Amino acid sequence: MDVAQLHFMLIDDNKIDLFLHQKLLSISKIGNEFTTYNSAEMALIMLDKNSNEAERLPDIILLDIQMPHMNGFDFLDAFAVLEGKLAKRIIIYTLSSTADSKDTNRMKNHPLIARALKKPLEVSILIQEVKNRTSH
Amino acid sequence: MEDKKIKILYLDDEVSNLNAFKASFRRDFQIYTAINSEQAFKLIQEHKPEIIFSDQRMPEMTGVEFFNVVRLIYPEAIRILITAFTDVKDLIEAINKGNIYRYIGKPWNEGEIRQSILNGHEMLKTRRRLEEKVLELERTNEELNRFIYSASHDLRAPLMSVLGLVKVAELEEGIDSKSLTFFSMIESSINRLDIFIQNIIEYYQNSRSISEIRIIDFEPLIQAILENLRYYGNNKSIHFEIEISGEQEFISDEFRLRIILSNLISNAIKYQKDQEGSKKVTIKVTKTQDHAEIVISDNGIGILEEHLKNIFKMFFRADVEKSGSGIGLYIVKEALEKLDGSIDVNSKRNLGTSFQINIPSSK
Repeated sequence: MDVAQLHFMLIDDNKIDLFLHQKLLSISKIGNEFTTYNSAEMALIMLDKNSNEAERLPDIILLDIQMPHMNGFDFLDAFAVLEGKLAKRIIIYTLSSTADSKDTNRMKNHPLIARALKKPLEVSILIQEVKNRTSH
Repeated sequence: MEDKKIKILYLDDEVSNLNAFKASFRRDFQIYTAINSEQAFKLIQEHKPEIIFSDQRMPEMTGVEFFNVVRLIYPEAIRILITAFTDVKDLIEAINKGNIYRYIGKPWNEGEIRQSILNGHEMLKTRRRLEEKVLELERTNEELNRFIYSASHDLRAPLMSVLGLVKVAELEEGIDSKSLTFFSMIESSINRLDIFIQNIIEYYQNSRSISEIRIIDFEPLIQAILENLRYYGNNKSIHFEIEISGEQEFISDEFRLRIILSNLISNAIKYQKDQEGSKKVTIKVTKTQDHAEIVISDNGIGILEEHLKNIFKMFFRADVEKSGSGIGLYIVKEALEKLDGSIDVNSKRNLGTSFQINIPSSK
């Protein structure tokens, strides 16, 4: 898969971080389509609405963990229910500044999380990760 | 206390004693009497008497035996034994074990009993006040820790945004070298602040009894720590050497081990010499049958001998030029205490520092 052609969905309650991550990705020429959501609920609604239209679904989700109302883990619980009817396999990376070992362990062992990335986003790690994952 | 009488239970196998006791004290206190232990336990359950008297010599069990049980099921009560002076050995043992508050010789007189009730009750009140204070302190402490923790988190998230923005700015086209210098200074300041915030979070977590006991795989653990410190100090110009030996399984609390190692490694990075030269940090782990020895050494600026004895104190800073909070090594020491480990330090000014840690395997 060509990393330059990826569709990213970014979920973060902080708009500055959404801006920042989209900017970092586009400067690094990874991805060409970005959808950003500042709440997990809105992202879920979008995924649900477009569940059988593969071209509208993202390839990769970058998910913040600490968000008000519905946090990253809550999103993943809902995503697990939704996953079966999605027309596309979506890879989820968490992107968080948490220093809580409870969160860290939970992310490490979560079946839906491909890898827990740290803020600020290190694009080279993400590219490597995506290449490894999509090449086989 | 005026409207609520002190509740007293008296156990004795002789009815005449019980009646005499009741007659003497019922005006001032709420008296319950029991002729055998079964009755006594029932009354204890129903009324929770503050002070319990018992005769020593009874057919089914002795007063000492009775109090041994009372202490287990209702430890708050003040327990007073009434006895003739023939059971000295039992009595001494019971008092020494803490099962009995005091004893009163037989035949008892009213004044002595009255005094023992008032003293006992006074002690009970003091004890309760103390317990309340302890609870209150624990609560305050817990709240404080929680506050520190959430404040640290709330500080960290925007800080990471700033760090990210600086990185984006550095990538902008046409940026001049002067701005780049400023940006890299901003970055290093942010990283320092971030390490401090992480330290506070570690301190909080260490003070709580979270633990992650498992078999320790040192290689990935150390790699993850180095990865975490990738922007820290002059990390890029430092050569890291990792050496792990020993086939034995080492079991420990990975969370605390991570705290210890990351603090010592970040120190080894921070206290490098400013000038160019071959900067080196060596991390050597030796696992044996029942413990692990970890040596972290650097060829950095070293620590003055007069400061060595103070470096594990909270907020002590040996070097005013290097920025630090002085909390790192304190946390290391605290975490090591939780693991029953020990730490030694060797240092020579301008030659470098070496920390040796010894941690028993928790099997």
